[in-house]
Amino acid sequence: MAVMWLLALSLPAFGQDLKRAVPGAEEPFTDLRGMSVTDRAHPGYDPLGIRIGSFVLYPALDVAGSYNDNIFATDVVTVSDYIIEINPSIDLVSNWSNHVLNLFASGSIFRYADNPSEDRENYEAGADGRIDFTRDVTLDLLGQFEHLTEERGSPNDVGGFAPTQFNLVTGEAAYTQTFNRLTVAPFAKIQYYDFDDTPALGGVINNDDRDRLETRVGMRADYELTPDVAFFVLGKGNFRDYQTVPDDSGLIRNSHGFNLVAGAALDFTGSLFGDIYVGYLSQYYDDPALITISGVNAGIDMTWNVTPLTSVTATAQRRIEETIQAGASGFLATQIGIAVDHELLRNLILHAEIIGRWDDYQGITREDNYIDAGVSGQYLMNRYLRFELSYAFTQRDSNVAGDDYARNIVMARFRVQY
Amino acid sequence: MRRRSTRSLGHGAIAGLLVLLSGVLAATLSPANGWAQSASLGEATYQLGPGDRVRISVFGHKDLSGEFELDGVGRVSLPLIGSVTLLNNSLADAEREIADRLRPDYLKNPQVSLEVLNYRPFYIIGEVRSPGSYAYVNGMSVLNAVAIAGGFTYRAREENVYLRRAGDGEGEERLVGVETLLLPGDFVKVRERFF
Repeated sequence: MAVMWLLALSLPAFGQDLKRAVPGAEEPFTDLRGMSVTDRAHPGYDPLGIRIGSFVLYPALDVAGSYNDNIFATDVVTVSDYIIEINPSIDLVSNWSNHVLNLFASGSIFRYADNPSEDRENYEAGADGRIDFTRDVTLDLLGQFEHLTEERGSPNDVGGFAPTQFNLVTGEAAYTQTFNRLTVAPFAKIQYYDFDDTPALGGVINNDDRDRLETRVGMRADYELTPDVAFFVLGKGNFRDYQTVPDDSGLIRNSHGFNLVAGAALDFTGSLFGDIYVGYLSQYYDDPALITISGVNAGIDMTWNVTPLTSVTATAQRRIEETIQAGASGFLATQIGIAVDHELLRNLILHAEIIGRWDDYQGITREDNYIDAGVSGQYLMNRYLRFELSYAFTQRDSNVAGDDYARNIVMARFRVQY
Repeated sequence: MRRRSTRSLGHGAIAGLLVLLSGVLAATLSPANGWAQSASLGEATYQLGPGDRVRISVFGHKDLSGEFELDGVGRVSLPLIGSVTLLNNSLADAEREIADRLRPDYLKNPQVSLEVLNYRPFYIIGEVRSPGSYAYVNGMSVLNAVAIAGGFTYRAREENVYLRRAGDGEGEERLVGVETLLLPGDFVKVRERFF
């Protein structure tokens, strides 16, 4: 149903990856209405997996070599390096007629040729699934643990000897019920950030004052006017509770806020579809020194299948993010992006994208503009091997002196999978 | 006497000229095998080829009639007269050929009628859902052929296709539009597009 499909666009991605060919399943979909290039299954090139009972196991190993001409994301004096990333992963996907359960685990090992201080490991493990009570009532669940690294180009990077690492525990639940034309979906999401100390001049930088619990609850209601047009209202409230108050600069960063939008989920003949919405978002900070952030929230998430071989995706969104910048409560991030996917051959998929982002810090005058542009080509050699070549360009233009940077990354990636 | 011979000579000359003209016309219009290219199928003259299934009826002689299939070189093996090559003959010519073989040794005045029961299949490969060989349908076009083969895939180039006429042997494939009429034994290739 068009509405259920569109609902998935704005809720987190759960459930099975359509592209996996399950042994014994019927012919994988290559030409459904509304199917974009990235959704399409590739019979003969998609992994079959290993059948274990009523599950299918998909093991994979990625090895990527890249050249990064500005690994510290600095302005004038840049350091370049060659990086190897080894990324093993396994996915256990259920094969049931009702309900879905996926278990996943993966790791990324980064090794730098000339700057071993930047070496790091990321990993994640989790489970997500869906319980189908009836055809109209489902419950989506997700639980995962991630150990991640903050990018050097992030405005929150403290400039230590090594990038900042943190643990992120996430739990999500979304209940969806359809009554005839009306679909209601209340949801809740909890995320706990636990930052590691960063080695720096003079010892370590203690990042515990950044540890926080973010709780989000909300509901989305869709009313289906026609099978191709649905109006929706989405409201969410969030609470951000820091474990250490006040933080190292004396500010109490606890906050709460809301995000209320109304919009339409549209589907024009399966070739142009997506959400557009407009609304308001606001975040209130406990500390009287931190000003309230609020603004109009307008967004779009549209896909246009120009031809069955080419898909264009346009996205725009706004969100309020946390920061460690002294005196700033947070920043209002506005992001617009366009991506094009083209299936040149059945096993050669090209991708190009450009994203612009404007970060407006509230409480200080800092404004950052980002441009991210990239092209990549993915060549599916056979069921077991994939190769990808990509180029990414990132530029930050900040009104704070010395915080600009430009970075080019060229990467070649091999994937071995079963 | 003289007038009649002159008239018959004149008739013969005109007939000869007509045959020459029609021969030239046929050579330019029709391919090596199959239907002569003409807008209306009613005027077309089909030429027999290997794989065609024909019913040959000799009037009054059930034991000389039956259903036969042309073999790989266009021959049929008929009772009494044995092997007859019907390759590239039109239906009328084939009837005449069989009648000539029956006369004068076996029958005085044979009345032979020949009809095609099953045409050779046509072949279609490339970007269609079910490539393969399918039964020929009278008057079909390339678009009909694609429909019979399951339709274009999402990667098909739909504006034109490659066509090799039956009997062309080593002949090259020509680019034709989808409205082109198809003949039994034709080979159609639907190409992939990149954009």
